[in-house]
Amino acid sequence: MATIATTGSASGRRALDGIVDFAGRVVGAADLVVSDVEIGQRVACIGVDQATIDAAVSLVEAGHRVKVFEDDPRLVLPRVGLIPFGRASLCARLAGSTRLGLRAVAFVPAPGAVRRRLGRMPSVMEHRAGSLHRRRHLDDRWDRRQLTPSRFDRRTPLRDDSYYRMVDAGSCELISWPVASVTTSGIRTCDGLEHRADWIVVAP
Amino acid sequence: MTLDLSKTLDRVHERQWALADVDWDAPGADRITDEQRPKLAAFMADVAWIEQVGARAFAALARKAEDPVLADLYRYFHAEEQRHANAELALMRRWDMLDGDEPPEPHISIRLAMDWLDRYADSLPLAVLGSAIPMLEVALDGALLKFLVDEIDDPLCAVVFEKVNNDESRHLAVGFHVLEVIGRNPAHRHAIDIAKVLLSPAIFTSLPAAMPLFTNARDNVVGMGLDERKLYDALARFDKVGQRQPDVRRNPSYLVLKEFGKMVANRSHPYHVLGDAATRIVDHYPRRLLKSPPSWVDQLTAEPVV
Ligand SMILES: [Fe+2]
Ligand SMILES: [Fe+2]
Repeated sequence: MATIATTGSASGRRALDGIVDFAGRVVGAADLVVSDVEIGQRVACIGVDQATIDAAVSLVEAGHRVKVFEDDPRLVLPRVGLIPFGRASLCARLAGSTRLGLRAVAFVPAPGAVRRRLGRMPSVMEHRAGSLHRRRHLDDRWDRRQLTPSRFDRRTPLRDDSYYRMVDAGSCELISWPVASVTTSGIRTCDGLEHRADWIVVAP
Repeated sequence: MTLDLSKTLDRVHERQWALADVDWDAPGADRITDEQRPKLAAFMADVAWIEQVGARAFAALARKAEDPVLADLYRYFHAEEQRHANAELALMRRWDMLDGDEPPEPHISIRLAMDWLDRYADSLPLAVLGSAIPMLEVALDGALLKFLVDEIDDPLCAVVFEKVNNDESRHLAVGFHVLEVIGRNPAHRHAIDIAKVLLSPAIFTSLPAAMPLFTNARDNVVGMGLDERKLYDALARFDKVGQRQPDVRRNPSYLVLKEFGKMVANRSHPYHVLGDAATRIVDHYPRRLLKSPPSWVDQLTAEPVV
């Protein structure tokens, strides 16, 4: 089984000191060659970003059962093609267009309050798009809640169409506990459990 | 006296422990007497489930705190309460109180509380949840867990609860700190919080959800032999915070909960006429009317390695 551990918070990073003693293999998410992972091996990947989500998705597609450790969820938006399909995509596209539009008229003088109000709009629309995206793919209320980013979160949104669906189907298991430590044999989460792993994939 | 939250967070990081740190097969499991066993099984099941319900409340707080360090602390406390529940379930397994490896069925009052909390916790103001948590923690930490360690001869019980209590001491420190911070909120913030609570549907269902829970938990522990006064003394700690820090008393949720706690602890208070009636009704609540429990309930496990 493959395990993707993603812990975004700065305070959580200290928990990873033990990685130097980890008995399995450690690899950067961007450097992961999926075919190197043998069926039945368990991989742990740490740090949530586009590369780790992509790695998780590729591992699941290759037939590995993946566990995702994500204790500080990021905003994930659908990938939008030329023509947006579905409400989430439409909303994400609108957010993008609004951002561009606002940049184009930035030279127009306006009171500070109006400027701030307008400036927040794209981000509000993105969060709305993320919520629609989760509603569409995640049936379980708790999963949905645990994958909802904090409203104070200002990191750039990630783009993905498969991750939520995989979590929903159970082929990608979401572990939303903070990571307590890395041991020689795996990852300990703060709920007191140890998750055995053969690989750890970290964010580049 | 204010608490340095960053230092507390550092300590939380340092003091993490796992179920795998405990030798669950160490000698002493047979020290549970046959007389203790049935009552202890019911009591431990209650404690484990209440820890998990507490965990859900911390999860809600983690989303409400604007201070990122406090939000981090709450995220860790959420996990730590789950760890306590897991460890207590592992103790039950050690004492041969489980049917297979399955967690015991939660008492109907706890089931209702779970549903209530899952539905409303995320919409309750921080002032309400942040006041309720320390009250429950002083009762659990100061009375129930201490009592367990005194009563149970199994040395591993003391080992586990020492770890649990160590965590709880930080939960309480942060809980009391937050009480002070909430207390210093301007009056209009308190007014908004009260309005939010009074206008929320949560308020109508809060008493039917809470009364049987507390009555059942209280009667279970007193049935096991806990002196009622100890429960009262433990709750007095919650009272004392307000006496030491006048700011704390400006928080209406604190004042209401403080009085509520006193009523629950005191069996001769007229409140219990109502409490008992609610408990009797809930006892007959048909389980088939319950919707399926929220999926976080399935996180309870006695297995140290997965
Ligand atoms: Fe606890
Ligand atoms: Fe606690």
